[in-house]
Amino acid sequence: MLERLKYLRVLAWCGPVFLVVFIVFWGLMGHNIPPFQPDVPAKVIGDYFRSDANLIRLGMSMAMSFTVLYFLWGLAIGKVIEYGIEKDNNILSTCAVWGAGLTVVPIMVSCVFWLAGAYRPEALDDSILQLLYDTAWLLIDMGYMVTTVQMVAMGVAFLKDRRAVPLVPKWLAWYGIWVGFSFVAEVFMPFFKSGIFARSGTLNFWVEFFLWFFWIVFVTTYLFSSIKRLEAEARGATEHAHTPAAGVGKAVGASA
Amino acid sequence: MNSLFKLPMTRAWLALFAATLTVAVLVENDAPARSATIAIILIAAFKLRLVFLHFMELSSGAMPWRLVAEIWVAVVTAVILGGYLITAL
Amino acid sequence: MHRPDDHPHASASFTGQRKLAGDEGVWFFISADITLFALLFLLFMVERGKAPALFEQSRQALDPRLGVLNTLILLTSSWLVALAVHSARLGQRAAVSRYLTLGMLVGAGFAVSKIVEYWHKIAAGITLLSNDFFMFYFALTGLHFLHFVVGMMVLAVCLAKSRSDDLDDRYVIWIESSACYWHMVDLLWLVLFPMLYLLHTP
Repeated sequence: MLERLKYLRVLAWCGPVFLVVFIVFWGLMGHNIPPFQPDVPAKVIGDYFRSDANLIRLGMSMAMSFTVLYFLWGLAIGKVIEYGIEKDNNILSTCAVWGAGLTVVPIMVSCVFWLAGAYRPEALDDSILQLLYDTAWLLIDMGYMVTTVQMVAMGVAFLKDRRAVPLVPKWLAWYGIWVGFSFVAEVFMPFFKSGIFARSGTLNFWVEFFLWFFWIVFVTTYLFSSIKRLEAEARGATEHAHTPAAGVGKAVGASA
Repeated sequence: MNSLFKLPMTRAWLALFAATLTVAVLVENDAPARSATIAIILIAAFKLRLVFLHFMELSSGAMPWRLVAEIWVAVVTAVILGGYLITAL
Repeated sequence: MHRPDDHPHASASFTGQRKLAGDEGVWFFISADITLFALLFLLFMVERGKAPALFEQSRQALDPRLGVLNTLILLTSSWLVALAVHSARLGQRAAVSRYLTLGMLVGAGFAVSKIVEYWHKIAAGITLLSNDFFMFYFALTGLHFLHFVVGMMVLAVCLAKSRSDDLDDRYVIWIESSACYWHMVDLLWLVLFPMLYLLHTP
């Protein structure tokens, strides 16, 4: 039982590493925190691609390389749910893992549009560079639902935890469900070039992205403590393997 | 049915209904006076508290949610009243 | 009020023990959600302050009578759902089912009136792209409508459970939490209505 928890801590570290890489390389180097407001002239976008091409190439290459860490982090969470909370039904952990894995897709694919713009910007028109920048943002924002699936599945699974002190506190389960739910405001994003719903707007950029960033931080904190607790539960189950009562304990001990 | 009217949620509902009808009368006029609009905002605040306290049952004083509700009502009312007064004065 | 399937003993000891109606986690969700709406209200008022004439002119295209009607619908639905919670605590299965059904029926009126209202606006060529006021109008009422739809589904689950499950402590927490969410839908409308329809700039 301890054996199957073996790599989880390494996977859990992928979350914070992803977050740092995403903020530094995608966000700061890629001029995406905050993005250009959609109503700036195409020339501004074109000039940006031409003057900062190398910075964008570096930022997006790194972001593309490291985005898959989000999936690995999600896998750790899925396994904690599967081993620690679920019994005969692994649908929620499966949804959580798939949601995390699919979240990688819009992020990674949108990075290639920025990269394509920065590849030979001197040969491309302003309007084409603007199109690439817009396409990238439309994809990364409108792919929200795969992440919503992950967040809601995780939230529901955490709420199903029947321990006296649950692995992940209820407020955090609900926080994730709420953030996943609130992402729906992105459906207004394609309609606006300024204001709160635009890609750079108060709600659809500042609020939604940072709610998600904070969620990653909170979940990671409890992910480490959950792994530790599952290890302790597994060790406890092994030590008491001779006493018949021990086997009736919590879910972890169910199938050794 | 008589006992129905003794329940706190029923009293709250009657008060909320009456408050809403009062607002309906206040907006009969196409260009309500500033005082009428201020009254509408304050009536809304009163209604918010009734819902929190008697429908959502925070009158029991469950903390910290009661505090959250009171602060929320105060902040929302201040935002709307303040925003209104800036444009109406 | 007594019926053959009443179980007054079901949770007699229950009501006195807890202070909060509903689950703490749901209250966290509600607090987060209303905070986000409060931010949206603030953003609306800021934009309104920048263009009071435009907002006033656009506001006059809205029909406050529909707003009053929707307010009365949601208040009544909320009240019926509050009565369902009260009945659940008394273990009165038939009353829970009756009040929930009535609450949903009255609540459905909100959807009808809202769709009629949207229909009229769109038929008159007004969309969320018309101007900043209508962006807020459609987005805020649209997000609220989404909450309304979720609320109706949550109530439907409570109704189904009221027929199949025991009306025990677990069910009471369920229905209390669902009802609090439903009251939040009501609550948000109580702000949206005056803010969007009634703030007259002289």
